Amino acid sequence: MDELPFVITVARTGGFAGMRREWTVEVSAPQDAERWRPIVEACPWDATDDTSATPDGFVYDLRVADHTAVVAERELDGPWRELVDAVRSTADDD
Amino acid sequence: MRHGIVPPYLLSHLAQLDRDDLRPAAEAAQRSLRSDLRPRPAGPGVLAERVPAPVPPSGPDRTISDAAGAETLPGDVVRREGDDSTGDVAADEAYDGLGATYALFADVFGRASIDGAGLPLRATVHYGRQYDNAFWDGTQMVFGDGDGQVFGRFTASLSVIGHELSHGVTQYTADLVYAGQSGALNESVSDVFGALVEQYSRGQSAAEASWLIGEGLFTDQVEGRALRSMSAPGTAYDDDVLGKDPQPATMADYVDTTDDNGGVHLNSGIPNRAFHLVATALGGNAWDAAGPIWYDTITGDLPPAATFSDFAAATSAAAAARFGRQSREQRAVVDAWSTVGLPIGDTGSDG
Repeated sequence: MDELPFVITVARTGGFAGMRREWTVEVSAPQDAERWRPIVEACPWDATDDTSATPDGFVYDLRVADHTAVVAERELDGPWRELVDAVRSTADDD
Repeated sequence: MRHGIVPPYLLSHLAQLDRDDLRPAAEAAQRSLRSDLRPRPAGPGVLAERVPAPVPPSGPDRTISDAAGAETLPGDVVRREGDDSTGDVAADEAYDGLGATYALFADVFGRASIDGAGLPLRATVHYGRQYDNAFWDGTQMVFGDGDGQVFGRFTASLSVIGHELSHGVTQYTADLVYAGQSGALNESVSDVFGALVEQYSRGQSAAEASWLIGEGLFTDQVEGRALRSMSAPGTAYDDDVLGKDPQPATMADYVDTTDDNGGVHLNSGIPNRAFHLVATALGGNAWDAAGPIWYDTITGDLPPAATFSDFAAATSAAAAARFGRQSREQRAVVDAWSTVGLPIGDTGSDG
């Protein structure tokens, strides 16, 4: 994330329908990077190995630069939720 | 599945497995083992504690709650057992769907609710905003209203309600690990019993039934009849925006993916079709012979990390035990699995 541009990808799989949806944000302007970096850095990227599945629950695959995480919907709270909601609302507005 | 449902010794065993076909299950077990360090949510405990003593069916005990657009469970109670209709279509569909699901398991299999011991049935409707899903959270069913463009409300299809409650039945019986092949079997079992709930409720024979899962969920804007087709996996929808139904119908087209817990909603098409083939080969009602064979299988000694081959062999053994070796029922089972690319080695075996 030190270099611009960087891309934030949220992929949602699973769910009853088993359909994949993906939202991406490309951050290229320095002022945008200042907004996104704290949202991304607030997430516990190194502590996300608990994705024991809820039947038909959504699964989120999150990627930013060299960060990756798989987060079950049930665990999607706090900073993860903020990141996903921010990416979805920004991508949907495009 | 919630934490703590698979006993730790079994998780350790799964976590150490070094077979490609079991890798998703092994990884899920590793994650679950690590998560055992965390506080456990309320819910069924370890294996020995989680199966209560069975009781005879004495009628459902339903509670429907309304989350009113929040993602908080359970929400406010809007209808309890015996209450009049609320006038809210989602709440009333959920209530009726829980009743229809209870009726199948009670009337056909003599099972009192999802745990066999009369567990109260709980569902929450109007979960989230434009929420495109329904799921089983380990203790209750949850239904969204859909986004209105692709999906309408998830209570609109009885097969979906039956599917979600059947995840509860699986949790209390075979407890199939929700990843890879065992996860696809978990999904397929829910589709099988979801379809049976709908067929039994409508009085449809195997020949008359649609064999569609989630019929009526799509809005008119989508080119598709349903989410999945058990009779012809891969043909339920073909839409400009959504693309084509990606389910495989045979092992030759098995999908290897890390999405969706290892493609559990994709590869379920293969065992789904096997069930359809058995039911239509035998004729009559699917709940008369095919359903009991599948029910005996999940309530038997199937391992939680069962592969498709394990499951196929178990259904053959269940058919032999119930109907006799080389009975037409057992031969139909063996033929069905062979058609989908899973030949069973010893057709005379009863396990």
